[in-house]
Amino acid sequence: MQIIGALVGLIYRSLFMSGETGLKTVPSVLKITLIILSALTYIPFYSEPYIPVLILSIIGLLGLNRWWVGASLALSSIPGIWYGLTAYLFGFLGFAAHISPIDALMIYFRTTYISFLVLFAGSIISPVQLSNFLIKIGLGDKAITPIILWRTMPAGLHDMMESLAIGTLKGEKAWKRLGPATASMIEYSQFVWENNYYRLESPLKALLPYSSEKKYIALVLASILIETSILVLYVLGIV
Amino acid sequence: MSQVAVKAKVSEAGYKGGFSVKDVFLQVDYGEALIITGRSGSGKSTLLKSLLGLIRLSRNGYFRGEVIVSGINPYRVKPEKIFQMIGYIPQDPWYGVLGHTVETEYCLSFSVLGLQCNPSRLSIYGLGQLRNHITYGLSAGQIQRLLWASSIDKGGKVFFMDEPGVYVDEQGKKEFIDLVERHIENGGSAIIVDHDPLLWAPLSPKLLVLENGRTVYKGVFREDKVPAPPEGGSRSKTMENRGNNVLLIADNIWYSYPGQKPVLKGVSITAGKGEIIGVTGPNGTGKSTLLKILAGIYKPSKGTIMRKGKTILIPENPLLYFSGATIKEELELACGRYCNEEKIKAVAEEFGITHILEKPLAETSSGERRRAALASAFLAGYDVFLFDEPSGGLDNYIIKNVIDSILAAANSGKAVVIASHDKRLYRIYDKTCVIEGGILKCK
Repeated sequence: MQIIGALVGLIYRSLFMSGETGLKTVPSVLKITLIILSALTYIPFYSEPYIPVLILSIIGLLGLNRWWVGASLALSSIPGIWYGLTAYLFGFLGFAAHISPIDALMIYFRTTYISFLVLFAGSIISPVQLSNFLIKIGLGDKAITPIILWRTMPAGLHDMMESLAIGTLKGEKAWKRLGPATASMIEYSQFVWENNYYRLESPLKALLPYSSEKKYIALVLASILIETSILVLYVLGIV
Repeated sequence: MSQVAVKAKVSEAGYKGGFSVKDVFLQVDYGEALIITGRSGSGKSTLLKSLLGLIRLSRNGYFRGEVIVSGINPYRVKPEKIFQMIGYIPQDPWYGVLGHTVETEYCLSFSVLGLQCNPSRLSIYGLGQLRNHITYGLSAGQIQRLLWASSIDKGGKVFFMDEPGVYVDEQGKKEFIDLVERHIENGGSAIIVDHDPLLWAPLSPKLLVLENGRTVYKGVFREDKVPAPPEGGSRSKTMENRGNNVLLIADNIWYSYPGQKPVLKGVSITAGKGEIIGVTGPNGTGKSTLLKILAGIYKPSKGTIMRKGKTILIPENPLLYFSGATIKEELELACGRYCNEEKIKAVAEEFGITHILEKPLAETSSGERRRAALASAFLAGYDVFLFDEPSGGLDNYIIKNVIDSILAAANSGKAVVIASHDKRLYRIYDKTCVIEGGILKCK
């Protein structure tokens, strides 16, 4: 039960802990550029995959917060450990080519970086920007979707965590509690639909307010500059 | 414009194969308020949903009759049209929120109407500091304030409100009643479901009392038609030394949500055998957080907690408490393998849930779910009970039974900690603790 609760807690902290603040407030074009460049940074550091992990951690630390870095690293380490460990064990048992512990560590870092970047992208999406974009292109009837997703996913996770924790207090087994915890999430969606029917069935017309914070724009611009420089130097064969 | 804000002839409305409201006729004019009251499960929320056209959305929900709100039939017009006319605050506030941040939630209603919002007005509702706060981190009271803010400020002539102040502190309730009074004076109208109609007496409202889905009184507001506050129940004389044998000690507890300032600063509290402790304080000051820490759900940033015996928490949203699909199943699980049918029946009787034992939890009212959760917890026989707003949605009849059960648990040596704004519970507290600015003071 505690493991499930901890996992749900990590997802919650990694993706949904902050509102429209930090890097979320940066214009979308800059954020998309940063994500593409961060993905490409994987190539020059293929042999030192811990460096892009470090760079992204620093951006996360400055643009999101330390809880995000901790939770996202822990979460993205799960597939990293899985791939690193299985590659090593399969080689060790003779099912695949043998690799050294250092190679296994490199596999861990590479996999972790990909997951970490996906979480980073998810964490800097602004539902308000997405919603406003949909209103601008004439899809006001769909514009509520990003907002409601960013409300219901964490609210559902939050309720699930609470339900699991109460299950622990009641002395129940984890598998027994998963049913009611999931049922509470289904009930949640039914009640939310009922209570917000008139808003959910009406298109959004006016843009929702949001403001960009200069220091985060500066942070993203600086990161773009650094990553571009690394890629240029790599293409030129200097690094 | 017609003087009639809402006119309804509800021949029958409810849930197929389940509860229904029958033969309710009402009319509310602009400049008037109507209070709907009655026992928990008497059909108040079902009636309100029928008036709003929402009952058809519920599982097995149906409606027969006719409703006109501001000259239009909510069952026949586009949702957008009816949304312009009304403000709706549902009973369980957490199900009324769509926005992921306070500002977004506030502005969504404006956006639907094509209007620009002014989030600086959130400060009027005590939410000025929380504009960028995520909504799933708000307390129930704060959510209720947020729903008031968006419903009132977006405009709309007719308010439909289901227990709109149940999670709000005393000061907040007074402010809200003033806001509704101003709305009525300005020519608006309101239909309010409340277990405590006396709160609304200053508005000189009309009154509708329901029982088992039928009208038992309709007319001018009369105090003699309103259920009296609970009486009875007393502390056992054999528990003279209550509180001496400590079951729960929390010492110098500090707690911060990630990225936020500490919500609890050096809180210490003890609960002994037979003791009932009330924790109160303004909305959002950390009452629910404290209970979750005492239960062990949250780990404090600093400080220690010692628990003796089994501890249980019933959260604000009782749906999160249940393990069974029906109330009977939940009670059987709570009762354990050595329990008998008679014991379950007795507890069900005590909490007034005998008639809904076989009902799926999803089809029960908010008050019924709360009673079922309390019944289940008492049946399971924990040593320390932590109750978060245990009387939310409960009428003056059933609250007497709840109070008696809490007293019986305390008299048998259990410790009870209650976080609540409900004045009806204050008299049973041995110790009242007020939490404000992260500091807890008990007397």
